[in-house]
Amino acid sequence: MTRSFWLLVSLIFGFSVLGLLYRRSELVAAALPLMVYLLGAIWRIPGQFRLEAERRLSTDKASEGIPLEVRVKVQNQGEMVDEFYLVDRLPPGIEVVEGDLIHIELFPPEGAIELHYRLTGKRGRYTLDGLLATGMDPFGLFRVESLLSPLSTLLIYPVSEDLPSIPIRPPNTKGFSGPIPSRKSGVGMDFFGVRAYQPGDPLRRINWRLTARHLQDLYANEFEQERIADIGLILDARQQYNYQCGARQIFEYSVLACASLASAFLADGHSVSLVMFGAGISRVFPGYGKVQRERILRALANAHTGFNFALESLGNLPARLLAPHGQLVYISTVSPDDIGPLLRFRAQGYEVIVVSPDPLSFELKGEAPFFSLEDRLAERFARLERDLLLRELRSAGILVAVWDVDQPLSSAVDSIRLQLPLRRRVVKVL
Amino acid sequence: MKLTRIAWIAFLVIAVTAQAVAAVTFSAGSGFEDRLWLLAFLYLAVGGLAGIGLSRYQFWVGTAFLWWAAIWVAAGTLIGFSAGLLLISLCAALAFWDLARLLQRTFPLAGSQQLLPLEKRHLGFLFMVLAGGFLASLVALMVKIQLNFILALILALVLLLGIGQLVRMLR
Repeated sequence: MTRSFWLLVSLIFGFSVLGLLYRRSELVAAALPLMVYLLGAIWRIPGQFRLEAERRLSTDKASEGIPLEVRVKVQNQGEMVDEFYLVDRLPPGIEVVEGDLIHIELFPPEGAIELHYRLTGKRGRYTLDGLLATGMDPFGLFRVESLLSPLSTLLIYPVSEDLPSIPIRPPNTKGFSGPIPSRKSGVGMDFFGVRAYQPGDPLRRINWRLTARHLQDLYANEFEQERIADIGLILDARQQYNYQCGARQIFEYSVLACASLASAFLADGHSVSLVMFGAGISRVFPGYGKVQRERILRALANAHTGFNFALESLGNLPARLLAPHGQLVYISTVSPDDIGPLLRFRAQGYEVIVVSPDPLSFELKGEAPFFSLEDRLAERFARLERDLLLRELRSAGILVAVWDVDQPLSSAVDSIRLQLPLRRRVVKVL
Repeated sequence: MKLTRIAWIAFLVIAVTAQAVAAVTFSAGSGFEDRLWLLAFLYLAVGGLAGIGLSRYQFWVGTAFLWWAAIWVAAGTLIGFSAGLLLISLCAALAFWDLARLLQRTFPLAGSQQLLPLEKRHLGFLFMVLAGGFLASLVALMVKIQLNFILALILALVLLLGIGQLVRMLR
């Protein structure tokens, strides 16, 4: 029963009582139209629903911002409903870009209603289960509700940016051919060195210039093998380093960077794994190709920040999760506590790249502009502190890409390429 | 929803006019002739406010108007206004309230063609119920049925409602 029912009943009661009090039959007679109206509503109260519902999604996996189609079909297996309301209640984070979530009409027996709409949503895993069917009498005084549950799970992947090939030089490579010079001689394109000719070497490898200077010996050129590498992506999902500006979270940019880097590395043929730490540790085991990309995107779709005392520091991450002497890519805003563990990784023989969404520019552009002198001074201090922090990493041979999140990620990744020759010089001197 | 909007404007006009005519005809013979324009203005203002409120999707106006009409009907009956006109006014106010609620319920799909059959059916059923209620009241007034009979009629209706509800629950 709705509030309107009680309003009507109170009016009927009021007219009847007044009529009796003042002994006026006109007042009691005035209650009659209201009663007939109420009687009409009661006559047409819908009975219990017998509905069959089905929800079909054009795909159960989509990228953020790309709309997908949803069709909901409800069939009436019961009796006539004078006013039938069908509302598909979507979870927060999903929005409809086209079509209606509500349908209202007469619902005859054996009739069918179909909702058709297109939706898009933010990154995440969603369960669509809230299909609310409401039947009413013609005057809306009585209501029968039923929550239909045609369960559908929807996974919305994070967006990723197309990145060019990223130059990396991990100490260890894998056995399959790929794009990375492996620091080992073998079949390849780049000149690696010269050694004495051995029977079986192809004649076209003989270095004739050197051989001409040594009358007794033959020398052959060696080429550097090009191999694929083991790449471990580490995504920082700690709540304490997730900066927020209104509805924006810097973690979303970290996820975007992680998805883009994973796609780029997998496109180059590398073996890529993912470790996320925040509330807990979640891991995607190393793998190749499109299937691995799907696995990583699925893990990133479910990624969320959290707090865990045991994972307050990057150093608490179990080392067995990372491939030995491989390439590590750490995606984080970078805190002073991260310096020690990153240097330790470097000392243990890992090549490390840090991709850091810049929290300072994120906060400065997200909020009201800093006007006061004190604010500008504070900004300069924060900038200096961060520059010193990153300089400490760079001095240890770690490649650092600082990403202003309002710029494309590719510009930050290009900065890795610019840092590379300097690093190689440092390695040669050592 | 064009049909519904036309109907609710019509019912508003009927309700206000019936009340105004009842008040004016009563006042005309009771020495308040020089203040008739005040009454006319009052009804016009109330009707106008209700119309503006609903045209701006303030659906609570429908309920407020029904209460206002019910109070005027009760007061008018006690003062001695024409009972027939007050009855017309009450029926029109009831219809106005009903249509305001229909507009509110169907507001999310306002303008959609799928609502047309529902609207037609609703209006047809509403006319039928209102006509039945009005006739029942009119008959009760015209034949000067005793109060006890009306009470018995109400009791019979309540009993019917109860039985109907019981049947539905058992089903």
